[in-house]
Amino acid sequence: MSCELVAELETDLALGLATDEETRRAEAHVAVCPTCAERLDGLRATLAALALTAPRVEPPLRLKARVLAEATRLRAPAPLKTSGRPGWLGWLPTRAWAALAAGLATIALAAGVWGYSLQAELNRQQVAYERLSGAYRQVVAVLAADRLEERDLNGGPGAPTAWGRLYVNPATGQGMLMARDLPPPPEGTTYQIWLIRQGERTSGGFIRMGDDGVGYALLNAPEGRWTYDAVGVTREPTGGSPGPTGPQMLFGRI
Amino acid sequence: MELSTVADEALVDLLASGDVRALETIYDRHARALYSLALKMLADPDQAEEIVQESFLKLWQRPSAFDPNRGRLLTWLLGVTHHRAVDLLRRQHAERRHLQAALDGRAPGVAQQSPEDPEAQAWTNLRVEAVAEALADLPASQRQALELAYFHGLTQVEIAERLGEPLGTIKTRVRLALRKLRSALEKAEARREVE
Repeated sequence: MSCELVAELETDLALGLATDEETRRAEAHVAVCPTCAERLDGLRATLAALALTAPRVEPPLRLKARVLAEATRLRAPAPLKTSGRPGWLGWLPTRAWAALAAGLATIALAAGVWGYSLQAELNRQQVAYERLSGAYRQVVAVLAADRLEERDLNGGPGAPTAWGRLYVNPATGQGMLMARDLPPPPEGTTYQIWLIRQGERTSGGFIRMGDDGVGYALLNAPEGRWTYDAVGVTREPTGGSPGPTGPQMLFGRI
Repeated sequence: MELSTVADEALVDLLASGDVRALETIYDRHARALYSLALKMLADPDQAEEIVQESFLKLWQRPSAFDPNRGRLLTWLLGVTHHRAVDLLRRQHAERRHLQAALDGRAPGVAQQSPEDPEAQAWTNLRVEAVAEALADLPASQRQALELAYFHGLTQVEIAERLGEPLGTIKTRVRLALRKLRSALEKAEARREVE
């Protein structure tokens, strides 16, 4: 595409009205033509200012929770390890502090022994701690909801000694599932969560287990409110199944 | 690390390492602008929420899609939101009530100041005020054509059909309107540089 053609199309391009093909070809040209890039970016900046003339409306609070929960689900952090302390909620802050303490201990040791490796280790610990902290904040957001219902989940035929607990905010459909004493899934398999309503099962995502048999998953009801009467967890091939096919590991009625 | 004072570009870098707090900070800064645009375009809070969520998740999943050399993060996010809203409007054949509101020629309001990043917000407000003033000064026919194209996602052919005007006339109106807005923005930027 030439500069003349881009100029001809620039209004449609900036307004998002050009066809996909026109946009693709124009962007290919713009990537190597600073003059056209500057002109098009200028128009887009103008339209951004126009967008900001829209009357300001605060988004509902639930939207932030939904965005962050979905982001966490899409790119879940590494499995968390427990401190060995009893109780469902106790392990969360303890784990965060444990990670920080481990980081500091590592730093102290590295300062005396490893010299240049200190900074790399520090960075690694910092990233790990911040990931943990991010997950922790998400969990807290769910647990801090004004309306929170709790239900116990029992081990199924696949893991009779396992147990779990479900926390749900029925108004927003957000929730969290914690599981304990589930063995790590065999290679090539994963644990899939099922949201059940009148016998119909919808995938609720996956639960990642730590080496110690503890795991959690954030849940989001697709309709934005909780309308399910039961929750289950089954073992499925990696990537999940459209419906449950493997042994039931956890189950609970709501 | 306290993120509230970190620049948008650095926050985007943090997204690549999976830092949810960086996404939260970006959300706190820009969600209101995105939601306001989506709500104005769609007039449906549920759909506006959906579009805003998709916009932030697009950045989360592919932060490299934002190129800081091509403009500000807010401009990019607004572009994503606008693009998705236009797609949705087209799927729904642009409800008649949106058109009626636009045909009434209502002037848009001016943005309020956000508590985050006051200096950047002040500059944003200056730009928005300049564009809002230029928009108000446009001939009604040009403002109407531009608003139908931008806020209602109509193609210039569709606008011509709706208004019973030749396509060439509509193209000219949109182009002139955009040019005047851009000129107003450039003047505001020049004034700021002098100050």
